[in-house]
This record gives sequence, C-alpha cells and structure tokens, in this order.
Amino acid sequence: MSWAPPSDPINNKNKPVKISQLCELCHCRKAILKRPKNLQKVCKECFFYVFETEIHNTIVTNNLFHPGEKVAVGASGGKDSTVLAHIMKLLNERYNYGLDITLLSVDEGIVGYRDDSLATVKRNQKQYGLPLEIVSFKELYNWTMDEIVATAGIRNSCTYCGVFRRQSLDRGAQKLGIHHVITGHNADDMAETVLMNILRGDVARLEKSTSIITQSSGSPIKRSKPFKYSYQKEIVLYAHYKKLDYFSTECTYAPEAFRGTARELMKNLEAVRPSCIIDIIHSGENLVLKDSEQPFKKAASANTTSTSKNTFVDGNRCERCNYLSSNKICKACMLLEGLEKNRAAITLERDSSVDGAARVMRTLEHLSF
Amino acid sequence: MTTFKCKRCKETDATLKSRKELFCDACFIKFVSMKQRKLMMVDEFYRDHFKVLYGKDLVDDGKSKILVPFDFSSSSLSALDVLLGLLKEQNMQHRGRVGFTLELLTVFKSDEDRINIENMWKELRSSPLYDESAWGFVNYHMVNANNFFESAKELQHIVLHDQDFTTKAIEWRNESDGEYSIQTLLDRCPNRNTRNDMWIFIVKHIVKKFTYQQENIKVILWCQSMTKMADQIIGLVVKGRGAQIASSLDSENADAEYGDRFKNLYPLKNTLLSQLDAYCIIRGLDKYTLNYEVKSDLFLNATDTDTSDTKTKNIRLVKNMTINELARKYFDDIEGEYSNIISTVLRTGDKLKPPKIETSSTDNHHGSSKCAICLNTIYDDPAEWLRNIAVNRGHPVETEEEQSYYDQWKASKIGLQNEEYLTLRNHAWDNGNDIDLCYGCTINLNGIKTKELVWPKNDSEELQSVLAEYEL
Repeated sequence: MSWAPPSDPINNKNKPVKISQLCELCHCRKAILKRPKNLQKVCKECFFYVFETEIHNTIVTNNLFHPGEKVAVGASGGKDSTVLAHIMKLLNERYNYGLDITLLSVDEGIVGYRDDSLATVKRNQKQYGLPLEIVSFKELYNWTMDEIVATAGIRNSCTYCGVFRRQSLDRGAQKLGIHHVITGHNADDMAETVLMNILRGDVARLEKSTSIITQSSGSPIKRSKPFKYSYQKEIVLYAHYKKLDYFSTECTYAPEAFRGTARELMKNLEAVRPSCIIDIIHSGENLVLKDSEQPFKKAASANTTSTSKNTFVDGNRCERCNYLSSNKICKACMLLEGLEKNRAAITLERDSSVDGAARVMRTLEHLSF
Repeated sequence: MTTFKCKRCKETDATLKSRKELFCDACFIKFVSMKQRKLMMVDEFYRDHFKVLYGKDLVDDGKSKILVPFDFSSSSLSALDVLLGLLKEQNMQHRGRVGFTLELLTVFKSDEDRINIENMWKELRSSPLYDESAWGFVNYHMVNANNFFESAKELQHIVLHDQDFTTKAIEWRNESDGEYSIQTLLDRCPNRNTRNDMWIFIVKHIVKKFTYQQENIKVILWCQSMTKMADQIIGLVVKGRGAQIASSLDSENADAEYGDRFKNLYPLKNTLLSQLDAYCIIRGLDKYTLNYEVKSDLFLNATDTDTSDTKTKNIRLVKNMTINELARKYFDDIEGEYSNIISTVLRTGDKLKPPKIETSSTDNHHGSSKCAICLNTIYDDPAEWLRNIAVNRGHPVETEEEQSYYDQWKASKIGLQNEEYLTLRNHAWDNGNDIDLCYGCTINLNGIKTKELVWPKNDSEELQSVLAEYEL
C-alpha cells in the first residue's frame, strides 16, 4: 500500500496577520494551534521546537540512554509509536545520543486491524531507514488474538493481549540482543493509570504508576517512556503537522471497562483544567505508601533467601517457558493453559469465522451502495 | 406496596436502604451517631478530650474545648446533633458535668451571607429539637473572611516568573496600591476552580488561626463526610497536590503548620454524605441548612423525579464544574456499577505518607520550605520540574517580516500589557525576596493573567494578629 503525504491547505499567504493572532511564544508568526498542555497559542515552528525540546529534556533529566546503546522502539504503526520513531531518530541525530535504533513490532493476529497497521510500520521502516523486526503471537504462542477472542470471549481480550504483548516485546528484543525497549506511552496514559489505581485502591501498583523506567530485577530488558510528559493531543498534532504516516484506527476489541470510566473522568477534568494531566503525573510521583502498607516490599526483604512459592520475588523464572515470573508459572503460561483447555477439538480448514470484529468492520467499510 | 423490616431491630418497618442494608429511622440514627462517636474516641488523646474525667485524669482542668467549623450543611448539622446528644447524656449521667464544650465557628464572605447565617442560627437555637440547657455548653462565633487580609500585619505582592516559574515577593503598600479584599482576589482568579481553591484555603486558614489564638482548644472537629473527603483526595491528585493527601487526612499528629497547638479530627470520615442527608431529614434538621440541598435518595419512598432533574443539571453544567464537583459527579454516576468506590479512595488516601523532601541540586533553600500561599510543605522544586516538562521559549525570529510583526506586537496593547508585567517582574527581581510556592499554587498563579497576587506574609506574627469576631 503506497502513501503520499497530504498537501498543505491553500490559504491566502499574503493576508496580514492580526496582532491578536500572533504566537504567544515568539510573537512574530501566526499562531496555528492552542497547546493543550497550557493553552498557549503557538505557531508551527514554536510548537515543533517546544515539543521536541521537552522530550529531549525528559530524556536528559532521567538519563534514559547511554552512548552506543541499542534500543528497540515498540512500533505498532499508531500515532504514538510513529511519532516516537520519528522523534527518536531526529533527537538521536540532533543531540548525538549515539543510539542504535531498531523498530520492533508485535503481530497479535487481529485480521483487518493489525495487518493494516503493520503495513504502516513497514512503510515507516523505509521512511526512517531503520531496521524492523516483527514477532507474532502465532509464532510464539500458537494463538492469534482473533482465536483467543473466539475461545475466551471479548471481555478479557485486553488481559490476554497485554500479557502476551509485553512478553513478546521482551522476547523480540532479546532475539535482537537489545536490552532497552522504548514505548509510546504518553502523559494521558500515565495520568489515567494513576487515577485508576487510586479509584480501585490498587496500592501495589500506586507508587510505580509514574515510573519512567521499569525493569524487573534480574531482567535483561528495561523499558522506558520518553513521552511521559507529552499530551496525546500534542502527539496527534505533531504527527499531523509533520505529515507523518500513521495508522489511526483504534483496536476493535473492547477496552478494559473500568479504565473506560477513568478515561471518561479524565476527559471531563481536562475540559475544566487542561493542565490536569501533568498535574496528576506530578501527584503520582509524590504518592508514597506508609511503611506498614508495603506488603510486597516487606515480603521481598524478609524472604530474600527463601524459595517459598507464594512469595513475590523479582527475578524468578517460569518453570515452563523460563521467562521471568514472580510465581512458579508465569502469567502467560497460566493464560495459555486455560486457553488450551478450551480450544475447539475440530477446526475447519481455511476457517475465517474466528477472524474478529476488525475484519467485519473492514469489509463493511469497503461496501458501497 | 411490600414493606420490609429493619435489618437491625427486626421489628419496625424499614424506611431507608443504605449500602444494601435496610434500616428503620431509630436504628439509622443510632447507626450514624455511633460511627461518629466511635471516631471521637479513636485514641487516648481524643478520649481524654471528649469523656468526663475526674481527679488526676482531668485534661486542661476539665475545660476541654472543641472547635467545630460550622457551615449549616447536612454534615455540620448532623455532627452538631450527635455532639449535643452526647453532651446531654453526659450532663444527665454525671449530674451537671460534661467532658467538653463546643466552640462553633462560621466564616462568612459578605453582609448578605452574615444576615442569612445570623437568622438561621437564631432559628436553630430556638428549635424545639433541643433544650435550652443543651446550648449552655456551646459558644457561637462568626468571622468575616475579609479578616484574612485586614488582620494581616503585612501584605506581600507575589510575582511568578513567566518563563522559569520561580517566584519573588515585594512589599505591598496599602496607601499607594489600594485596598485588597477577598473579592478583589476572587475576581482576579481565572476560573471557578482557582476561586474555589483560594476560598477553601482562606476558610481553613481562618479556622486554624482562630483555634491557634484560643486557649485550651486542642481539637478541631471537621465535619467532612466520607464522600467529601474522597472528593478532596481526587481533587488534590488532579491539582498536582498529591503530596498533601497524607497531611490533609492526618488526625494522629498535631498540626505542625500552626505550631503543634491542636489536632484535626475527622469523625464523619466513615459516613457517606447521603447517610448524613438522611440523618438530617429524619431528625428534622433539613430546614436549617444554608446554601445546601439535602437529598432523600436513601429513603425507600423517594421519588425518581429529583434524581433525573439532578442528572440533567449535571450534564448541562459539566464544563462549569469545579474539580471537586466533577469527582462527586463521577462517584454518583459510578456508584451503581462499582460500589464502595468512595470508601476505597479514602482507604487508599489513608495508606499514604508524605514523600521525602528532595533537596534541589541547584538551590538548597527549596529543601524544607513551606509554600508562601497555602503553607504546605514543599517536597520538590516545582519550578525546576515545570521547566523540564514545559518549555516556554519559542523558535527565534528568522526573517525581516517576522521581525516587523514582533515590533508591531511590542507596540500594541497586548505587548504593552506584557510590558506592564515585565516592569513588575523586573522590579520584583531587583528588589524582592525569594519565596517558595508549592506545585499547586504555582499552577494557580500561572493561570492568573497577570501572574501575581497579593497575600499576607505568613509568619508567627501573622498568626498572633487578632481576628475580629462579629458579635451576635
């Protein structure tokens, strides 16, 4: 599938700019957008400058990389990961980070959704001149997401997808000898997680919900989120004004129901206080549990030499797949076990009935009357 | 119509349902008041301040006084009702002796407010619900919110740097700069949220300052329901004040911001607002509320019309709501599907402690300072944090055309306004003192167009300055 960047809108370029229309940062060019982060009206040049500089500041302040490091950009073809790949290449060249960047994609096997987005990633590979590696659920687990949804139902789709995708990214990176995966999680995602953990009282996750770098002890792969302070809307605007090639369809399987309610609350809050996303992240960074409320930490320190199967110890290995796990059997193997029990005994050859809602949507889109 | 029996006494017909349990009026009143009384006796300190003690156990020579901020909401009316009930009980059982006396305090904004409050207080005093003897243990005080500025020894002009988010304060002179009132401050706030934030702080400060200046008041009994406290927790998170959650819920330690003179008690924190509303309706206190609408949602015979009205009202006003109101709306909307969410939020808040104070690598004075506006401890350097995540410098001028636009902007009204700010900023940076603001107050100040406000200089002298009380 070929792709051509959209053309610029035709405006009367000679029309004089009113003073009130000028950018609030440089005061010398016409403002074209209102920054969702602080409602400042800015011109395109200033927007590019502040957006890129803020991400650079995040990288430098948090010491995300070291020179010569090999990093994998988790690329799905969506707006966040496309902008991430673009920005990482740009900043790497501008500020001489000395990074060796590879695109790493996971094919979950969602017909009509992931196959289209992977086509975008393949175009990105050529556009940015970066190597690409694709790992698939089918190859790793012998299941596609469409098959999983057909077997386990749509309600739990995010649980399966989340666990398998996380593991697939790690396995893909390991295969390439890369120890650092960067993902396009943005400020909105992070703020939503902080709110959700407070609302459902998930104390175990509360303190970690705003960590920019996450790594289990003993794991060779670390993950980081350079877009931690970047608003989703600004990422979309950046992709739009830079005319980046990205895939804009949301996953057709249902999002987690409770996260949906937190998202709705965030949308309302953002309408009355646009800065609320970074405000929530600031709060999240300052949420500290009382010592008596840290059962996991206590257990870990009390049982460092113990081999108790029920104790959470970072760095354990799954008995079946040898992947990192806090339990005897990792979460992915547990889910696979449940799936295998319910797999249909007989299947039709070339059966496409398991292809999910995405395929139906695509078919409907191409119908004409 | 089918009738159900009360789950507690199993004799009387149930009149209301709260958290899936059916109650009759009498059992419900007992249920709510016991929750409050239990938290009033939560530890030895509070027990000693509420119980009738004799001999060597006597606290403050038997003159234990409890300050109750009173705003004529269902929460404060029901809390007062329980307290008066306890006083009556103690008075009877101990033959004229009680464990404590009450100092009620209402903060008002305008003359109109004052008149309404005064009339409502008189009505409550003459209510047939209470004997005249009950009021013998209660003193009522009213303070005008303008005392916040009027009683301050010294006012300061706080200016925020628009690019690096640092702050300076210069002296504010009444003679040349004019009077500064609560209304002036609230009018300059850009939205309801900031106004609400400022107002909440001003009322809290007046209450705590009033307590600080009284002898023998060791406990402030805040009438905040579980619902309101959950709203506040979410509100603090959304306003970037997450670090303050632990101190805002702390009832174990004395209030360090006010010289460790008293503790803050939240005895309604296990009671939902809807339960307090129902309590007021049953006790007939709903007619004494001011600026507050009591809801009858819990009653079995409640009509649906009220709720549908409120729902449409909420939908229409979302953009005009404050953060706390939005959190309340979320709880109302979600309660059916995910129950106990309000208590979960409160329990999560209770599990938090203040974060470690991070000393800035560049500027040591940020180490353990207090915010010059809200008096809360500053745990990190908000200016540095904001500088890293929000760049405030633009792309440079590149062409002649751009330079000409820049010159036009500088000479324009917008440019001149900016010039006015820059003059003030330069003056503050040449003559002012460094002051520290917490993250939440920095964001509030950044939202004010002129990025400045006038505020009392908060120090021990300010706390000593006497608040003028309005005599009833």
